[in-house]
Amino acid sequence: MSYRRVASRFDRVNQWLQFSRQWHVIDANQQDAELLGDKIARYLAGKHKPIYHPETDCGDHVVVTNCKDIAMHAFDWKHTVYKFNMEYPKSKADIPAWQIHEYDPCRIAFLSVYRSLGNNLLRRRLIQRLHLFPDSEMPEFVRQNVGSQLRQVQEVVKRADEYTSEERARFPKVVKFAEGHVVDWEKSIQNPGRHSKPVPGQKEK
Amino acid sequence: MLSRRLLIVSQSLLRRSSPLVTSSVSTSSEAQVIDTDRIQKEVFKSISEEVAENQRQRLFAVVYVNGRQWKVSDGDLINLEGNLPLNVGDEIKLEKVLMVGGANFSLFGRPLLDSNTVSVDAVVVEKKTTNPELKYVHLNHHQTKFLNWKSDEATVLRIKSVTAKAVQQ
Amino acid sequence: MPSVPRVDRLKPIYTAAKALNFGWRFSDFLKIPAYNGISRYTNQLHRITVRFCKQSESSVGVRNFIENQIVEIGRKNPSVVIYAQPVRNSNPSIRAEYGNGRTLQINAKNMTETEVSKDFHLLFSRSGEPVVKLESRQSALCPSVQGQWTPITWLPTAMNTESLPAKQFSEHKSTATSATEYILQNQPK
Repeated sequence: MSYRRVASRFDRVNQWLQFSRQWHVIDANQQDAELLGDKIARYLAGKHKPIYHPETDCGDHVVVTNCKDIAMHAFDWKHTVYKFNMEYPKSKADIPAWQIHEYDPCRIAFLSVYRSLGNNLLRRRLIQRLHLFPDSEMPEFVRQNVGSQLRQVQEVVKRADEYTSEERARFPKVVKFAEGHVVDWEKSIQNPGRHSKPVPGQKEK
Repeated sequence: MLSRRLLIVSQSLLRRSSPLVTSSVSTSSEAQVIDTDRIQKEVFKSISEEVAENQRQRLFAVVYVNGRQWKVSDGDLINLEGNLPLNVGDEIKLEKVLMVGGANFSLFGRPLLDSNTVSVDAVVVEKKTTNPELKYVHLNHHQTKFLNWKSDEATVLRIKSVTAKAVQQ
Repeated sequence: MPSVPRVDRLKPIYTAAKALNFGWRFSDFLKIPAYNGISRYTNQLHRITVRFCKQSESSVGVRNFIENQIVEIGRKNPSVVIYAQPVRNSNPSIRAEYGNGRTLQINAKNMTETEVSKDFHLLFSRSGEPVVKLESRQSALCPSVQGQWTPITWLPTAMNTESLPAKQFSEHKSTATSATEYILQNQPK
């Protein structure tokens, strides 16, 4: 049966709107790198849209701010090792996450998003729509493009030293501390340093 | 939109009473609908006006047929898998209606709507076989050929009408 | 085969053009001809012809079918014309003609009576559209009742007036209660 609906002028313009690229902004402050990567990859590929189809180019732009404050779970800064191998002699390098983060504060966000996009040919094009900024500053043309903001993937917790003394006094006591207990945010504890074995016969200083 | 009329009291009021909680970011909230009776009446009334016959509104419904949910409207064709115990030309009423909606409202069942209030009528227009899916394997020099021919039967329904009666209060 | 095909012979071109319409349609949307079933349903089958041989072994099933079942089927479907056509020394076949002008033929050679009956009923319930791979299991007259989705459909309107990024749109929302909140709500004594 051929029932052809005539596309009106409104339909045509509505279609331009449907397939227009949106610019989202998300704050990476204290956000887990993997969770953030999953969420951003979803928006870069356009999977959040009801019109999503794998053969349709419907991905959006995502702007990530505060990449220097991205977080990792537990000791993952040390134990997450990114492996680079160009398959040339001596080109293999296994670098822990904290070293990469020291070198370039945006690189961890890039790597986690790139991994979350999946191992396919499309991700090289999708990752070009990711815009990473180490702090909250961004170029003016990017700020003008941004039309929507994404919610963070985790709650941003208040650090212990950010509470005022009044607030801390008002907080209900759950634990009774021993006398002379020093809390680390009140007074920093000296690093005892590495234990050195005393050499016999040498004078102690 | 109807949903905008519902007033929701969250815990922000409660939080304001204690000075402690204002400092922390509260993420949980317990929603609570107030003035239920008046709002329910308003909603019933506006939906009943929308579905009235003189309005001639186009309705859509979500029905559960043959293990799958279908969003259907007047004149839709749906392709059900399998040879169902129906003859061509049979008229059936789809009773498991999960949702009905119009241009200005959406009405959800929990999980089903009353089948007397909302009726989705359909007619069986075709029973046919599906396009065969072939899997052909030919191994050179091994005298080996497999032809796996998969074809199933299908039943095509035409949705004649989606209608709803005015909601009783 | 001549190197330059003759185009002044109309018959091969016409024959090829007929095949083109059918042969290259690999996938299509779900269709039913003639708005069938929108107001009322009419059977799309117009004529059905059973060709068989009175003597040969290969049309035993068809002969039995004609003897036992065909009269009953004809009585139930008065809108369909059924022909039983004996053709000497031929392979038996069932040929159905539909309202949209298409013809379907099934070779019934060496079929049993049950198989013939099954195919006969299949031809009765077909609409005449060719069997193709479906692009979608549903087709609709109206694209959307409540309007099609656009990127701004579910965008919070509060974002229009704020300059982004703003803190209130960034906060993570969860129904879970954190430990701090729990202690503040249920204070220990």
